[in-house]
Amino acid sequence: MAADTFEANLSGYRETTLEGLLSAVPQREPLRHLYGPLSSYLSRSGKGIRPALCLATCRAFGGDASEARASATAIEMLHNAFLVHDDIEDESDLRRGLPTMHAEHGIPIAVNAGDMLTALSVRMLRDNLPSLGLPLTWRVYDEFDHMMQESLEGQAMELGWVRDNRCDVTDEDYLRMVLKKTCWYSFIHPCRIGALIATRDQIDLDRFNRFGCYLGTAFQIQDDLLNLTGDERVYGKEIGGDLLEGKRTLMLIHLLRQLDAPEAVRVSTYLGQPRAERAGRDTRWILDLMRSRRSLEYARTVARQLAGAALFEFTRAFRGVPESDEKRFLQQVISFMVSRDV
Amino acid sequence: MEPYQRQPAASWPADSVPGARETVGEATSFLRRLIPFPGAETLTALPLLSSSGRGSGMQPVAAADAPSAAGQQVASIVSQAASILDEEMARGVLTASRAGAAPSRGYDDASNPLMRQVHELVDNIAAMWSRVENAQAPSYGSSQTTAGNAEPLADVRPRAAVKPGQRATISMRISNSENRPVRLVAAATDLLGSQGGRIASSLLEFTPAELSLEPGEQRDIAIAVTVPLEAAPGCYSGLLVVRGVDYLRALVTIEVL
Repeated sequence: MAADTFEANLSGYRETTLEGLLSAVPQREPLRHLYGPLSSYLSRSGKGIRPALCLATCRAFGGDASEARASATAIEMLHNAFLVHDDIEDESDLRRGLPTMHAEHGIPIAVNAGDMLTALSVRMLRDNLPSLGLPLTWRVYDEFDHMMQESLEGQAMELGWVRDNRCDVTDEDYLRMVLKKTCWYSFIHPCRIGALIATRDQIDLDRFNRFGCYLGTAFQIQDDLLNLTGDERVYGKEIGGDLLEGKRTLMLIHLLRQLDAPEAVRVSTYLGQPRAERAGRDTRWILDLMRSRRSLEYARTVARQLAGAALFEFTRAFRGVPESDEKRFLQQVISFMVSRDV
Repeated sequence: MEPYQRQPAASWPADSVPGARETVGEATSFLRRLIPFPGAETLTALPLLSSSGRGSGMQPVAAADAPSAAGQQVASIVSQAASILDEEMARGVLTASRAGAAPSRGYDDASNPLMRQVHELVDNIAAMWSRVENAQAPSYGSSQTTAGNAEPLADVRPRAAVKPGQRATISMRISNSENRPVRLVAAATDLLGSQGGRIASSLLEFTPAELSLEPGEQRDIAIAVTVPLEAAPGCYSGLLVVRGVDYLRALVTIEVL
């Protein structure tokens, strides 16, 4: 399948989802401080990979994509809720090339807006009832519930490392954090929910776990690399923002293992400072260290290896599934996620 | 109850997945064609079968990293990720049960055999885990368990507790109660200690690593582990899955003195 076909399919899923997102936002007061900013924020539309995975998996397993639409949209709604709060937690100014919700409307309004996005996402699951019936609707809710819990626990791990200025985080810690923060909600559960709906809960959904775990981790590492080395205009977020935020990325964890004592003290001091006090000179110095100590190379290699593993697991996750445009789309997600520059 | 059951660390037997080798070939060739990053052209797939049930037998490797500074750390990252996933899934099953998710479902799923089996599995794990966490003496010490169709979760453990550095062995008798031949591969998660710490799944050896059973046939499978010298006293438990039939799962427990 050509890349432009992939992009066209992804765009189609994105439009379907956007329509669902916007129609879920009430058009009533308070408009200025809640529903207006929400509609505007949702209209920015990211890549839309999560609902695309859910809808395509549903179709690949022979289901009716319209039956997975509410769930796919709910996942994207929740994703947006996470982004609004993440940007506050990380003190980020840019999201999708525009000011973050709190940069535009202030932290109190943004916190409340994020809460409303979560509430709307859960409400959307209720829309499954007429088409899926109570048992299946409840099963989808179970998946959603697990997805939320894992993501928030993973986020807490990462925030805690920054707060406590942990410099002893290992690759294993990082992998666990990413599994919890990213993999379940971005990759594993979207596939699980799509297949759950298509098959009426008749297959072992665990078949998607490894695929999503590998792909999600490769995606997160690629995201972290882009944050350090990407083009801000294309990437849509501040380049180097993760370093300013003190995020324990795989590159930083690798670098911390390579440093001599004086260097380690300097990096640790940098990471222990409030974001506003971190000097740009030190940020550039750490980035240069990441290059010279091959931390960036290490992360790229790990991402490649995980992408290879994800591709392999794809054949297991989708074993017995007839060839289709949707299956081909899902397979190409792997290369898209790891080779992307946005 | 949520079916967040762990996936086995070991691979499916090659011949249990129709066309598996062809699929792997297609996958690697696809990766070579489509993934536009350095090293994709050298992608190779490792042999399909894990020879020791150690849990990473089916992972492909983008071999570009071989001479790089990343070295062996990179080589282990995929199996590390898989091991963490297995562990988190095992925890998820236990947590879900403690949360009482099943009774709160709000509908009767007794008519769904799959869900009923999952509930039984979770309930059994939870009951056993609680014993492990409390580090009580085993209430039943048989080291030989027969696993068969529709059996509840079995608890397998050595006949006696072992000291660090000693080797523990567990024997299980597996019978094929299906009316078809089955080919089985055993795998396990890391064994988590009741007082913290773990015994890595890579230390568990299964003999034989795989076996074929005709309908009605019984055979023994042995699990051996040399307890690391640094292992703290306590009970270490993990989930054992025998791939090839879905219902063969057991809780492995080793008590370290």
